[in-house]
Amino acid sequence: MSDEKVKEYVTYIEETCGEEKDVVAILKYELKDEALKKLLDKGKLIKSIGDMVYEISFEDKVMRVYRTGKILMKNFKDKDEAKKFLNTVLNF
Amino acid sequence: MMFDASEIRKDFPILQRKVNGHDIIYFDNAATSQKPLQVIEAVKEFYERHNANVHRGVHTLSQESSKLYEEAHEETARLVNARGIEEIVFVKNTTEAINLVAYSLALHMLGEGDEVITTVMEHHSNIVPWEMLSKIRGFKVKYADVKGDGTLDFESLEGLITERTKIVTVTHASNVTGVINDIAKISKLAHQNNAILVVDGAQSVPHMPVDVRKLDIDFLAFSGHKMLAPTGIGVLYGKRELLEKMEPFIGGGDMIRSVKYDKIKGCTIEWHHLPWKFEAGTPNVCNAIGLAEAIRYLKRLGMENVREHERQLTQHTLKLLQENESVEAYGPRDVSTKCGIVSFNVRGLNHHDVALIFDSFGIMVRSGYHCAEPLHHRLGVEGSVRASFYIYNTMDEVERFIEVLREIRDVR
Repeated sequence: MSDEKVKEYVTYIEETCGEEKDVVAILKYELKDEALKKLLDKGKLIKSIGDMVYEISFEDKVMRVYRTGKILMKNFKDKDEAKKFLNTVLNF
Repeated sequence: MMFDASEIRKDFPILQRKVNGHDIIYFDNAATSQKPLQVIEAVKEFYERHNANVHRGVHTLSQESSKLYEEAHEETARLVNARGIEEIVFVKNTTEAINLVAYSLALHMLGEGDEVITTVMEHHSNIVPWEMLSKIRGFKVKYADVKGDGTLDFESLEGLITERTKIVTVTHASNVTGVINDIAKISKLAHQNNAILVVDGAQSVPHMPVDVRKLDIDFLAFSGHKMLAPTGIGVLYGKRELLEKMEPFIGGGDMIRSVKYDKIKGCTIEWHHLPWKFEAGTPNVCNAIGLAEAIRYLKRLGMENVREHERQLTQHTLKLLQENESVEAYGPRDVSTKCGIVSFNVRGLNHHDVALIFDSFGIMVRSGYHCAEPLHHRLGVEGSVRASFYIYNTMDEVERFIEVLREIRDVR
């Protein structure tokens, strides 16, 4: 599968530093609300904190999506796995 | 006399920005500092008026460029009280400066049976080069421990030193806990045992007076970008007699006096005099000039005043943090032994989440290991959030930071 959707919605993606190997993705500012809607439609909302953070689960994966357009993606092996996953969930 | 941080802020265009609809609060100074207009202008003026390659050029621009570049060495030498420019080598950053010492010194002078002592509080840049070289040369790297509050366990360091110890390499100030090590005491210990002392000054030189002669430091490494200068320029101070004995790390143009080829004798190379022997190839002239301007800016403020300003910000932050039960801060509470760095975690929240929430409010803090994984493991944490201060930060910003932290506690 191509990474067409990641290219469309995501401006930058990188692995974080720390014991847990998380990945941070930054959505394109003008498309962040549209992307958040897609993620909420596709996944299951675990909780939202004010209008600031949405914790969304996708089977065994969890993302925390910030209104600012940043996504903290938990328990991904690396950036490539996170990219592939984002491409699938944004292709909706 | 202390300076007014709110006045200083006017020199930093980036601090006028808004992030996510909020006035920016930049608390990631341990990673890199912002740049004042004076430095930006110095860089711009160099390219607009003086740009040429340095050394061995007879034309006007080359001579102007060489003069400015050498003056940058002089300004840096005065900052740390080196004996002269021959003791100041310009490199890319602190990491390269430590690698220069490791490869120029340890690669040629250390071998099996020798030992290098470092500590668990080091940035990876003061661990990895020594470990890499130990694999090549067969010497051993030993690690002094820290106490529960992150301060150096001096007895542990003392206990590791033997007649096999050739180099002791320590940070002046921890980039995680802010702990300031007693370099004079470590220097005495190292020299009593005939060991060379290497100091990582990345978190000290930008923030407090550092006198290499008073502290009797053999090598001091620091970065320009953490002290208002552009990225890509760093410094290795080295005692002249040690630098003279050392072989260059990188070979090429400008670092040689002559290269002679003879069909029978082969190639004979004579090194240039200090500091050029260690500055192969076209150097980062422009950013060295930016560094000189940054040093002049800091000197106008006074390094004692810089230290005092950050001490007050740190003290206030620690006091307010103590009132927040959900926060666990690392490092000592005594700000006389600590620089302007406060690392912490919010119980029940991932450090990256905390940093992302701060970001939502326009507050820039760093999260993760801060390139000091062994120290985090020693402290028993999987990462931390780090707020680090500089000359343009204010008490109002600290208040705002604490206010947001209270909101973070409530969102758990």
